[in-house]
Amino acid sequence: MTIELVSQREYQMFNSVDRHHGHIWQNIKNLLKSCFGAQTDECLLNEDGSLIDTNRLRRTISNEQQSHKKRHITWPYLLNIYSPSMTNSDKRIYRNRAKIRYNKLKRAWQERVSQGDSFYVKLADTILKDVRRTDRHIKFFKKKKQQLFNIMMTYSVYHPSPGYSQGMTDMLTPIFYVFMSECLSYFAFCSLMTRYMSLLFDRDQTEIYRRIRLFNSIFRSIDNELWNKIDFHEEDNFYIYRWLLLDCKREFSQFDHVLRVLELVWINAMSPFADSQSKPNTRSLFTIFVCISILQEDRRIILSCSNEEDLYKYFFSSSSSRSHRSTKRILQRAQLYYSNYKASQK
Amino acid sequence: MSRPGHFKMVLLGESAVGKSSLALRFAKGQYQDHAESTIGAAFLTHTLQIDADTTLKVELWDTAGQERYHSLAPMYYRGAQAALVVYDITNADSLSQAKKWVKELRTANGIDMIIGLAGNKADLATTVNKRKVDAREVAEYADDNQLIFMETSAKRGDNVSEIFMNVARQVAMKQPTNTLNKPQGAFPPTKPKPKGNSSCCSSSDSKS
Repeated sequence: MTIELVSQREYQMFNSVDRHHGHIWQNIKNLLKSCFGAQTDECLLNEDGSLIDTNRLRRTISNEQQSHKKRHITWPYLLNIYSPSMTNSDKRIYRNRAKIRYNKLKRAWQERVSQGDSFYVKLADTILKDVRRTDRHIKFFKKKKQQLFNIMMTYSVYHPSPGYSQGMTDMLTPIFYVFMSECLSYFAFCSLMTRYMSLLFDRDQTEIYRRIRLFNSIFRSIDNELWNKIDFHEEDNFYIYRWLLLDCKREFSQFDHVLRVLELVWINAMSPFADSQSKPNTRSLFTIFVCISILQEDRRIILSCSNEEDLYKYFFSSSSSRSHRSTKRILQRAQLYYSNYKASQK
Repeated sequence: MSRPGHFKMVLLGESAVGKSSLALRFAKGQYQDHAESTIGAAFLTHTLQIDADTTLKVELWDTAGQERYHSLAPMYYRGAQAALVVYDITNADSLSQAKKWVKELRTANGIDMIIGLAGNKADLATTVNKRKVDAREVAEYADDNQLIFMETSAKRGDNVSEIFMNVARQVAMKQPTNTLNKPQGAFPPTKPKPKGNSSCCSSSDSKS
């Protein structure tokens, strides 16, 4: 037996009210959304533009559905462009000052280039060649080469250590894609390098070797079967070099997946969000778990390699053939490894 | 009966001279405008029919060109029987860099190593006159240093299979195929030492 909760007549009346008073219902819906919205679409900023709290920011970035809509809000905090207490007017003042400072820095090297100073001309030539071939398949970057070049040139001139290194433009494109401002992208990129990445690009390679060794010992303890299969009897496991240097940026075929991977790496690696800021080694952990998770995603492919040559082809082929991987699964597994690790440290 | 063999070959040269493009043209017959820079290294193979009864598989290691990644190169050229050193005919500096590579290879691997020298981007010399390196001078230098020299265009495919074929023929002539069949040994044979202070690496994170 079915029970009629609302009579047919009443239902029709209700519907006609809905049609005639659509705007009222819309207001009620908005009200409900603002009361219960926290569960689906969390508000991050106070009315004055300051950050409500960093945990909420962390939650938003961890939640895939929310994160992609809010990168323009979250990344300036993630990359330390804005501090949590900054109000809208503080941000405006900061942006104006940043613009003046950036333009001054840029003009200085532009003059040297136009004077034909050979150091600057050669650096410009190298950077231009690399900017032209970074993420060129993304339409957005087709007309942005000049801006990317300017940012990279300004960074390289004013940061002689590490100076310009191939691979840096790979880290710049995601930042520029989200910030869309030459000046803010410059400062965000500087912040990424200073707080986290510049050591990896250092000439002496100490940090990247350390990262590779750390990867190797963790990989061995998590998945001995796969580790044994891949072990090339090489001391330094160079097959993972590109993965670890660029935080797996080239290991995902879709650009929005790259953005997702990087924001999770950063939130787990950089203060004020990272739990363990003190030990530099633990900064690499999330990236290392992503690497291991990719290898496990490709377990069948790797285990079916019948000789070293097949393995070399898997690891050292160009990065365009990654479309079979499920980014969602890879990141879920990496996050699980990471939270298990954190629990084990408590 | 066909006598199959294989040999290890390395691609060296300054950044953006077209190493990866030559490798791609050789191994797959393809060309990509503005191919991404190589980080670390890339590996490709391609089998060549040297003559009626000899096939040789080229195991090609393509390296990163930027000077700061120079310290990684010995891993890839150690144990290699052949190398292709590449410069860009529109960039005179890239030829100086190529000469440095030739010197380093001769010091490390000796006179037995077969070395090809490719002056790439030859298409730019004819379509837009951008040539900065004179081919005759390079040919003389190549003669003096026993290098197989050709100007190539990865974009148009000019001389690409030819230069690889010439290198492979010389490898085959120099070494009987039965030695080419032997395993090449572990990769990489030895690791380059980081220049930095090794005491800053804690022992807990080293491979155990």
